[in-house]
Amino acid sequence: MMQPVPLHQRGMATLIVALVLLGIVSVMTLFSLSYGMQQRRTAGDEMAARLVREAAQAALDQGLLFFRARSNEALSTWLSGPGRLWQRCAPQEQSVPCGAVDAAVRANYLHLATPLDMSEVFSNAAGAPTQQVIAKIGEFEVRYEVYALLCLVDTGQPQRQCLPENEVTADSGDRKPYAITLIARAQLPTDDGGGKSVIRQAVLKQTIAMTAGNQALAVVPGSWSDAGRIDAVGDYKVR
Amino acid sequence: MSAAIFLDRIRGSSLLDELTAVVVLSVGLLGLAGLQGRVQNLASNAESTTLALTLAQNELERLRGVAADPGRAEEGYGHIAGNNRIIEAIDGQHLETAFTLHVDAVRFRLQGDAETPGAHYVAADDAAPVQAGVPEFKRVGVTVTWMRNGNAHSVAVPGIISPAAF
Repeated sequence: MMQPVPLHQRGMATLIVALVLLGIVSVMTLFSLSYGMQQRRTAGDEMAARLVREAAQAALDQGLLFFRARSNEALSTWLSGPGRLWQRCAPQEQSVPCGAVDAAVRANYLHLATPLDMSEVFSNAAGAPTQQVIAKIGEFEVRYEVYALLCLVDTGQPQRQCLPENEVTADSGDRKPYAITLIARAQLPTDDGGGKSVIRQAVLKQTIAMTAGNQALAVVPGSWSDAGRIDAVGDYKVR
Repeated sequence: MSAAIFLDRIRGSSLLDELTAVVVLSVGLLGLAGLQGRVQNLASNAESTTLALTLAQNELERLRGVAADPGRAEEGYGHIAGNNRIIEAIDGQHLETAFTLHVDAVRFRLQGDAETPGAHYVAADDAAPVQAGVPEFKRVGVTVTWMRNGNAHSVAVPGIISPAAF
């Protein structure tokens, strides 16, 4: 007698097994795709983070060059009289730039209420005044601004923090010993790798002071404590 | 006799089903293999971009270091200008990829006395020597380009470099 076999089902079973296999391989490929996309997004993130940091570094460099061109003015008309621009930080102030230094010594610092007006000093290759020497990174428009904090110091009293104006001995050139802490904030609008636009931001700070040798404003390469002391590598006069 | 006919019919249809399964599986696998290739390409592109960015940043740092040497104002900072260099990537996976480094520099120098309001930086001649007491800087761009699968890719890192002594 003939078996009542489900023989006509055999081919169907093969098809089902094939589909199941295909399903498994599909899932594996989708995981791998998602890993690939993730890796691409991570690389994009890392790139944006590095670029925005470069922009903030450029902003700090521009801030140093600004004060190289305006060092006298910044310590004379900006510090006294009706055109005074440097204002004392309030201890509880937490916004840029005062918030960038430790609360315990914040009130000893003077700050400019607005970012440096770079267009007073910088021009582009065509000669037109410009706020930013670097306006684009790759295809992205970059924005940055630089804030400044002034610390009047007296090298004769190294243990004291940034001093009030009247306690600092003016030198013969009517210039007071000082160090300026620059705070740069850079923003880079990019996309997140999935078509959504995001703005990356970086904030960097560095302190500049006069070198003792050639009397040039330069970055203090050692550590600058918020308390107004420089443990500098090299000969820095802080004036 | 009727059983034999029935079995013949069954064998034929099973073969057809199996062939269908093989075709479905093959089409699916081919599609997935293509997708896998694209995923690998994406990941490898990301790797190349990261590597290129590192090369660009290293070059910018090198130029900063050269410019920061106060004893080498002329031959260090002074020589930062447009040039091309080809670097074979050191990463094992990218030995076949050549990265081209291009540096371009625009020089700006303070016009007017540094202590006088109105003094501002303007584009300056590359050939003029670095002058003590006159602040200046170079706007530098390091661009790294490389070819991958017949397409050109690039990343650019800009920076501002000034001499240590001016």
